[in-house]
Amino acid sequence: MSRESSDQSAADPADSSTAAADGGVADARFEDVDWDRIDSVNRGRSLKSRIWLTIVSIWATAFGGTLFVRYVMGDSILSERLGPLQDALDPTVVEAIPLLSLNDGWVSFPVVGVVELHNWLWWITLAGFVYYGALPLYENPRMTRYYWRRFRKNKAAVISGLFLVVIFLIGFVGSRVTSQPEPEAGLDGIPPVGISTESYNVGPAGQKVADCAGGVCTGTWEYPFGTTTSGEDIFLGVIHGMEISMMVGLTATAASLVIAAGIALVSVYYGGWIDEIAFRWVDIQLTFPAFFLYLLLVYSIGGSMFILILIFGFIEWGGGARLMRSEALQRREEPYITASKAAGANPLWTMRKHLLPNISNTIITYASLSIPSIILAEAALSFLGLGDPTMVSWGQLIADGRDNLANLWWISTIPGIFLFLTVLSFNFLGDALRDAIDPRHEGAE
Amino acid sequence: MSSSTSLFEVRNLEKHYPINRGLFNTEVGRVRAVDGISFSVERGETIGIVGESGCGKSTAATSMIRLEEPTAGEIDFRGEDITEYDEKELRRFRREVQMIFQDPDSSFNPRMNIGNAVAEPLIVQGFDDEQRRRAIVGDLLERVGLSADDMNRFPHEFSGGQKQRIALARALAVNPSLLVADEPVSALDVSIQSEVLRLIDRFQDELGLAVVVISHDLGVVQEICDRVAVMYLGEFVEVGPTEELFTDPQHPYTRALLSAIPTPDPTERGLGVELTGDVPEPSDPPSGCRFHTRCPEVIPPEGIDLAQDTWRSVLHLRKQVIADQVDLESIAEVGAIEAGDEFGSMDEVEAEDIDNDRLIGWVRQEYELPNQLGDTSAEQTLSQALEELVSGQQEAAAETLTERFETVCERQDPETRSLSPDHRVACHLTDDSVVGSTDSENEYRRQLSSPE
Amino acid sequence: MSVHTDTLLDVEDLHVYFRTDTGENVRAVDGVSFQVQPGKTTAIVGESGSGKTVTSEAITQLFPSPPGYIPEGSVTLDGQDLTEISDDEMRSVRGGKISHIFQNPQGALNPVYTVGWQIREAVMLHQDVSKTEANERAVELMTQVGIPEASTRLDDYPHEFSGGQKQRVIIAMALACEPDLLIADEPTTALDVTIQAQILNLLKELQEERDMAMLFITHDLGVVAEVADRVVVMYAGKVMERGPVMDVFQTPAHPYTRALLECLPGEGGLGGIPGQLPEPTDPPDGCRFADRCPHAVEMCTEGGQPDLYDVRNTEAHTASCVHFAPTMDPGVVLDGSERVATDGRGRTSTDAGQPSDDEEAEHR
Ligand code: SF4
Ligand code: SF4
Repeated sequence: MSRESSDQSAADPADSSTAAADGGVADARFEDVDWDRIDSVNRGRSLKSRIWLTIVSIWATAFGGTLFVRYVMGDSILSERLGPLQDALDPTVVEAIPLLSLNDGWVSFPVVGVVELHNWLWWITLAGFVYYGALPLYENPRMTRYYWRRFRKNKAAVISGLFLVVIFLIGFVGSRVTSQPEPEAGLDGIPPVGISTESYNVGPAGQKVADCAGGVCTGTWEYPFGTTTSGEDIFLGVIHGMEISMMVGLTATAASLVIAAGIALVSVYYGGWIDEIAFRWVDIQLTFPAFFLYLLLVYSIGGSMFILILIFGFIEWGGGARLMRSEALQRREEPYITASKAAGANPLWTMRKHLLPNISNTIITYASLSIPSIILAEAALSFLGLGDPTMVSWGQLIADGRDNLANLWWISTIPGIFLFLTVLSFNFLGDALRDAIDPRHEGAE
Repeated sequence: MSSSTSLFEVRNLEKHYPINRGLFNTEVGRVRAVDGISFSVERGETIGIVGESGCGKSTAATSMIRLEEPTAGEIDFRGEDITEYDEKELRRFRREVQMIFQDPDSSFNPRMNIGNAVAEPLIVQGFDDEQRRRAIVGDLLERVGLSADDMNRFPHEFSGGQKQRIALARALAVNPSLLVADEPVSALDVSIQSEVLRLIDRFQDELGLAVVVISHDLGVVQEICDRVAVMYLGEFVEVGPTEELFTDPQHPYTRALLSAIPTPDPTERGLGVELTGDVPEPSDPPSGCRFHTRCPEVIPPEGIDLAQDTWRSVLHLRKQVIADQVDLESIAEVGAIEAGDEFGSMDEVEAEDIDNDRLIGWVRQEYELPNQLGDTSAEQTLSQALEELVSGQQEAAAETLTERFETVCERQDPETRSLSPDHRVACHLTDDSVVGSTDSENEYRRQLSSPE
Repeated sequence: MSVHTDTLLDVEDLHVYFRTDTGENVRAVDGVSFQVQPGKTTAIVGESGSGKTVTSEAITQLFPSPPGYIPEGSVTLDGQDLTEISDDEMRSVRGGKISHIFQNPQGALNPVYTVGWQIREAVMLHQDVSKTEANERAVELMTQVGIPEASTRLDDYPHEFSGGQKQRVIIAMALACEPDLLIADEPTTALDVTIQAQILNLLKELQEERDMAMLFITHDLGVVAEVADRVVVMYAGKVMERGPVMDVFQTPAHPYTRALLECLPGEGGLGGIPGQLPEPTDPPDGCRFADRCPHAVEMCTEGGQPDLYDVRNTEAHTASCVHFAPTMDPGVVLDGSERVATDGRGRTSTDAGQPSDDEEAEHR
């Protein structure tokens, strides 16, 4: 393109000289743009977006495949009924694809092996954060600095942000390099380091680990946060719980945000019957409570992290969509939207560049309310024993200590403090982010 | 109109908004925002569309460039009918026509820096050489009097006047041949207005740009337009060259608009012809000439000789009687309050309690009618009707009034007539076949149109 | 501070500052003095940022406070300094002796109450009358402001009125307490010209009937010429020129006033005033207009704003410009651009847009 245009200016020396005289780059005048040539060029996507699209499609295929193998092939009734398709549904088909294998009814991928369902969602959420959040910030350092300058004015939010990053990193790395805490008979009731408790609270094996003397046991560095009533290491539990809280909060919120924003923007942009249908559906959906739906699923197919994320992510977006819609409705009539249409912008452009940024207040407010509430909901469900039994979450730890609050208070308190701080931090962060990215909020400096 | 193709030509453009009600969204009426307007714009020409708020001028602006789909009409751009355009052609057409808006504050996405805002038309039109794009934007910003470094700043960092310049830069980025400016300076201070207008003017000269200015401000229009169209309730009532239209307005509405502008001269006080009432609802425009409900020059029926304001009062009364909106109770109440003592003792004044003659007097007062009309035959009809009215025969009164006081202005839609090749007016006063050449009426017309 | 018997409102050296988050002061009004005579109209004219609205709000302290405050100056109404009275007393002045009407007729009426309710409320707030009496008053007021079928329309809600009619209702409310002074802040700016003409005529009529004084805030010189007896031209928180309307329009003295008049569309010249308002937090030394003034000389940027010097030795007409100082030659500003053909015919010519040569050069 650029070579072509410089050719063109060479062909028209008079013009380029005036442009140069103007002090601008040659060819910098809008009158000189050769629109016919631009119209004839077929434009493709940029490399960056092509890579992103590839990643997303690989993800979608693999995730879809996993779901198919798990829920369609695994369903014997289905494969019997669909006689002719039986061959296609045969597990050997999967095996026939190079590098794929079946492992206990799950697709096993090269390198990563079997990926659990909730992790599929977690990975794409993280990838989305990188592509839509971190990458643009990295590419526009000037803008990043500008936002940072504004963001750092809010000290509480900076501390909250740091805290969350630390939680995330420790949780993310920690739960991969350490093993899940396992119950161990006799190791129960060890207090955290430096804390003492009557020795009858501590299991027999634990008495050897902790500093026990004169009927009082004091915690040691071996189990810095102590152990639970079943002898699990609370320190490990907290670390694994970090990732789970982050995963549930972020993944479910991301899913509901994408759905809510998408539906709200499309409804507002096109209006009419699209809007009507979408929001009648929201009305209906808001009438059935996600919690009971979850209970139903827990009792019918068993609770799991995946179901939990699914429920909160794909059922709970109605309220957010309503908020975003009403905000977007106000924006729709603004002249800059008309200006963009008058310039020939297609709907996608107008929605992404104009509507979306201008409902970001609502989006961030919604996210900063939704993340903590989903984290809390997960903790509550785990507390009630309805969580994913295969994963140690903060809610479970808190539940573990609920019968012994008087003696073994640390079991509930330590994860409780983490839960409290995490929820608080998200709230602070949301406020500050909303202010920082709103250019109207204050002057640049 | 010239026979060779104009740059932009609109014929019988209509934009109606359906009013839907009820369970099945049945159409119960239409707001005729734009109801058949025609005009053309030549290369390099500036044409103004003026009118009060609610006259449909902004809708005209958006529907003539298909930002809203017009209900009917033809719109030719360079000889091609743009109402037939498909999406791709329409996008190409968008490049040729750009818009600027009234409110500089909401014309820009507050989340987008102005470099991107000005570049937007280029991007969406497929100009993806980023470096050259930046150069073009920088050059444009400099040419509208800002600096290229302003690219990274956000809209709120600029004053209203600056934003309007940036809006112009954005509109020009794709090198359009027609610019539609909807109240481009109404939100700006006077000292800044002229700068923006001059800037538009300069680019117009440089680029041969055609401009359509939509405005309620006749001063602005007079300043920059070659031709002006005066719009009332969705229709053009007068179209003509600016000079001619301002010095010798032919339509009573144009005259009224012009005389309502306060002049910055304290020795010439008093705001000429005062239009009474408000613009009627465009969902239910008046019959005949749409202006007849407010027109200070409504043509009286043959043989009636009344002072113009008395004649108007009669018409107003007639309208109210027909609509059964003469509120005798309230007239009685007000009359009683004004009459003072006599009725002071009464708690509730009922219209029935008051003798007819007195009530008629109060009705006349309310409708600013003298106790005795100048024209005897008219007076006869009026007193008969008032008599009927106060004795509770509203329908009879309505009939009496309608029969005698019907004007051609409400019966017939005045045709648009050409006074000269490019001066068109829609008013019966300019039509000898309607007004007749009876001297008294011509005389009367002259009286009205000459100032003082 | 002398209180003349023929002065209703005397604003003396009024300052209104707004404290920003960063501790700076935005000097919205920075030493403004003017008077309003009973039964007469004074118009404050200026562009946005001139401080005209804040000035009008400062009279009854309607501006948000904090951050706004009056560090200096007095506002004397009938011999009473309004800057020193208690909040309670101020409340009785507002809507009592002084009424306000504002630019936006939409915002001034509460959409959930009928118009009648709102007018009655205004009547009963300041007069000890029964509900029926208040109702009668309301009908009377509505009739006076030219709303037909007043008693039926009392039961209508604001959205059932057109913009012009709403402004009439607001005027009716403002008149409810028989104010001595009506402060009208851009009352016609949101209206169409034809409706504006109706409202201006109405205000003039009402003023005559009631012998009420008006303080008219506007940006429109045409409107000023239409309604004002005296004019105060403001720019960047300062008074630039002050005087009887005839003098100011026939012999506009201050370069800013002159430039404003030349900007008027339809006045022949697309003048425009290049440049921008000075920073309101840190105004430059000397004349506030110096940056944009075609006649600026060195001494314009020294000291404070020039005093209000007499123009042509009439005390009533003054201009804050160094060229009118006793030792200077006002001809620098006035010459070559006389607005008025002073041939004794007593008529002005409106084609005032002949800028002097140097001004023209400025614009090129
Ligand atoms: S046709 Fe009649 S009502 Fe219409 S403008 Fe002419 S005189 Fe007035
Ligand atoms: S004092 Fe100086 S700068 Fe101010 S108006 Fe007069 S000449 Fe202009």
